[in-house]
Amino acid sequence: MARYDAWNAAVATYFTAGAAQGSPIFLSLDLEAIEDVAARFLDEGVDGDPVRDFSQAVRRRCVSPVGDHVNLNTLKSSHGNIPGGVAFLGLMVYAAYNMQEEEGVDEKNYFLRLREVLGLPQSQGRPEGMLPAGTEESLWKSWNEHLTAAGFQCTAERGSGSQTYLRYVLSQSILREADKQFLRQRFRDAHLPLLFDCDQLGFWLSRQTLMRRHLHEGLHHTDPARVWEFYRSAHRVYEMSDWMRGGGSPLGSDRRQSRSIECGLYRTVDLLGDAEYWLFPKEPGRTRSSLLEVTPVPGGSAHPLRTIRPGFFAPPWQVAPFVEQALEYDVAGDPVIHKMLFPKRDFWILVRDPENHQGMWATWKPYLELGEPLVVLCRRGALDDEMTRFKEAMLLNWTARTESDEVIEYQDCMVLSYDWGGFIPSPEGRALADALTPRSMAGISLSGGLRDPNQNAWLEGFPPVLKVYGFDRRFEVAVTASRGYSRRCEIPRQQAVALDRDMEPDTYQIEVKWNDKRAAVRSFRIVPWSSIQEKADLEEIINFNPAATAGLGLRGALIVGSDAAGEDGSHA
Amino acid sequence: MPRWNFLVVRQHEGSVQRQQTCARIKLEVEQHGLSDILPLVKYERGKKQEHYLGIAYDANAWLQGSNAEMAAREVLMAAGVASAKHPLNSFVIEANDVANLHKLLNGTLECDSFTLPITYDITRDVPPPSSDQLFAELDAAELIRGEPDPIDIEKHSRLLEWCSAAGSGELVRIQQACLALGISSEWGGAWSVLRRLVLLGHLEFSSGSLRWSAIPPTLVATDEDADCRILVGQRTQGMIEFLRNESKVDEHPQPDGPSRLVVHGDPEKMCYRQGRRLHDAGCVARELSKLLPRVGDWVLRLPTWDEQDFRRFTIEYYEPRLDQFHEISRINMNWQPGLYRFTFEQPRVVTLGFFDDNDGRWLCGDYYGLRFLARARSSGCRAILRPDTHQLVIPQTDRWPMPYERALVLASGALPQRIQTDQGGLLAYQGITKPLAEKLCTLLGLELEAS
Repeated sequence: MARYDAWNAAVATYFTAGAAQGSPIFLSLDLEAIEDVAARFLDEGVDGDPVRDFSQAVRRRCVSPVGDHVNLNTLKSSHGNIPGGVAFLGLMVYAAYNMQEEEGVDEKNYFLRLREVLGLPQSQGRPEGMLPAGTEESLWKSWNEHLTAAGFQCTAERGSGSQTYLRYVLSQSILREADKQFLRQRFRDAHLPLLFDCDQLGFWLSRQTLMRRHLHEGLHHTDPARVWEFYRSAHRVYEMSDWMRGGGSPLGSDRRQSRSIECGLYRTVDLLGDAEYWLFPKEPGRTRSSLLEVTPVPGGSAHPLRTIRPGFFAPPWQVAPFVEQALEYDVAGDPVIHKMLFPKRDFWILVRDPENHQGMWATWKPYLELGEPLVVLCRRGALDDEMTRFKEAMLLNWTARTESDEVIEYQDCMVLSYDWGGFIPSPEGRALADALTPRSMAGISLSGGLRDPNQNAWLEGFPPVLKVYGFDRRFEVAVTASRGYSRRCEIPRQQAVALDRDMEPDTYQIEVKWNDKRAAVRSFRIVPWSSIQEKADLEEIINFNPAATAGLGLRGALIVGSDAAGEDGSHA
Repeated sequence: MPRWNFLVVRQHEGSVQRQQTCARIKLEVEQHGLSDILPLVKYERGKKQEHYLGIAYDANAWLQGSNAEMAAREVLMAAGVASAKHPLNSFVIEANDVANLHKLLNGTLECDSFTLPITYDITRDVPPPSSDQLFAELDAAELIRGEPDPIDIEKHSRLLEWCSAAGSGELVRIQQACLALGISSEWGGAWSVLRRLVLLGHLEFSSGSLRWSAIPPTLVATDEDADCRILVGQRTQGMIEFLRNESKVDEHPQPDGPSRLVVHGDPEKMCYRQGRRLHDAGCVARELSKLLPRVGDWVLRLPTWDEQDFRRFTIEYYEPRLDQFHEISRINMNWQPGLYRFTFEQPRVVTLGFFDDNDGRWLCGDYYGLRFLARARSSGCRAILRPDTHQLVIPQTDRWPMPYERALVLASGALPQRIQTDQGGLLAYQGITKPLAEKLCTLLGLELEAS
């Protein structure tokens, strides 16, 4: 039987593994996640059923055997840099997963489920030790602080009214077991092909009429991060492909047999200024990093997949953006990842490297921020016409359109209007229109300043410049921090506002309100100069240029060779 | 994510009435702050000349005690569209029902949006100048006069820390970092900073693309004291603190660059992090003096500029005695040996070329390298050693080509001091022993003077 601390560390690691810096993290611990954690992340063996082992480990740590009293104080210490309450919070979310569709979301029903998974006597309300309401809030705050300190976006949030504290749990619960069963059935009924990527499945789901309230709310939530988490969770169900066989729940051993690496697109420019496109594999989330190799052609030699930063592998080779059928590549080196997929798509939306505003355009983000410059690639044909219609309807604008072979590229695109509802797209253009439609009245842009290149944070003394993009003239903005900093003002849209240079290292939240409603929210960190870390695995640039080195091979102060032939140029 | 449906009411209004109705609806929506949920209203012409008033609503939005469709209905009623009250007189077109919409409608009559469009404000990135153009420029520091400023020194140290964390990148990344730190906003300024960090051994660059990379933390022995090591390459506050716990580290601020860090102790045992040893490169200056070619051989290695049509340039000839360029005629092009500056005006591109009459070649290189050639072949260049202070003093106009200047800078890990005299500016390189000075002067064909 695994100890609580082992489960705690494994659960915390599982949810951030393979996640890109800045990405939202949901502690969405469900049945499959517990099994996955036990199989791949837990350093100690489990005793039989992983769920039972997990809940018993939590119970042993925080439920006193006498009187079934929950003692949250046992969870408040940290182990290494991981807060001690993560596994307990995970179990709280797991309890929410077990709620049925017809159950009302209130404390009464929820705590019945929590008592069940903690092995407490069935009675109404909060267990002993979790009173008064909100006793567990400090654990959520520690988890949020841990995530933001690690450069991620926390998602667990306080609610209001009767859901003030329950909201923390509900904000983390994504697909419930009953939702998954429902989705399996829908996938089977619709005879879905097995080559959809997460984006394509999300588009398909957003077009379905779903009567299940939790599922409907999740898929149409105002927060794109939450919507995307629902897409990803649904895609994991889809990826398992057990729904094709019909019948009930899949076998546990089947669950982990079919993870794949999704590919996006990475754009570079050659010496003549022409665009080149590369496969851009995403590191599968919630997997332990292993040395993966992908085979470009059957029987060919394997190509190692090198992580360039958490969440992304280095682009391995060039690809035509628009293929006639999805490309599948064999992957070796991991017990559950066997394929890499490049989808058949009719458009791509690329954004600038979020960590380098002069960096490469690529599919860095799953959803768009208002005001963000885009490169839109379309397959020649109907979508090209559709883009022209978007522009004529003043829904968006761009500065340049280039075409080559089958690819039409729109550079420096920007979505301008909220009125996509008044535009009737062609059937072929609906997915593109959906992808470009703004999801909120405002967006927050942070630029300038000086970023720590590795921590998804700005350096002390050099905070970013804030700009609000939105569909009204003025917005209320509040910048607050956990240690008391607070600045509130009303600012005109699209006006660059310099943040205070003396802002101390901390995590800050920017909230934009419009008509007293939250229109956008964004967090950022300021870190001290002392926290800057030198980059490992440096790129080796050796200069042989005679003007700079007289033909010797120099790498700064290092003499690494001589080029007696006087070769002109540099070797990277 | 919004799902846009339309609540539609059949109407029989004239153009003026339609506009008035739209205005009343807009007022209602704005007064209630609902334009995120009810963003627009449209009048559409039906297939049978009837009109339809449709108000868009987000079917996924939930309002307290209501839903968006009900809110849309209430807004229409408040605006005087009484028929919206009864569901029988109105109907909903769902976002998915595009085919039916086309059957019903025959064109938009009026449309009023309740939100404001965003202003397109993307400015295209200005591409960096070509490497040839940057190589043609003076070090920006030469244009600044004054004493080293502590704030300026801190900025350069921070830039090196930032480069250490970034690891590598294009020139634009340094340019942006220089801009944020307040070092420089110009491309030439960024190139000057990069050039100095390369001379100091912290970074290296790739000439073609101007891509740069930091080198791992490395110790370099000085020319005058074999026991004295300079830290070059990556550097962060955490590293330096770790190093201070193990060794004595002296910090020497210097203008136009990050502080020079002198580390005392056994280089074999020095670590910058737990278990990570510093690389010991030995005395790089002396090593370079053994490997660098004589100036004549260096010239042979310089690349050639194959330009044939010089008429499209403004051409200036460098007058070595005056240290000035002056424009020459494009008609009578009898090239005399020396340095020329060619400027193409649209777009402005500046290229330097040295005409070598020995073999009739146009040589390419950076400003300092080619200017040195021009002056060495004309009036001659000077180098004076001050044995008491171990300073090698060179007139600013005789600044050495980069490969040889690297040796001078790496001899001490210090950039040259700039000294102003009545006869012009001087560059004083620190910690240069007589053997090293003699060796380098021999390579460059200079006579070493003693002061």
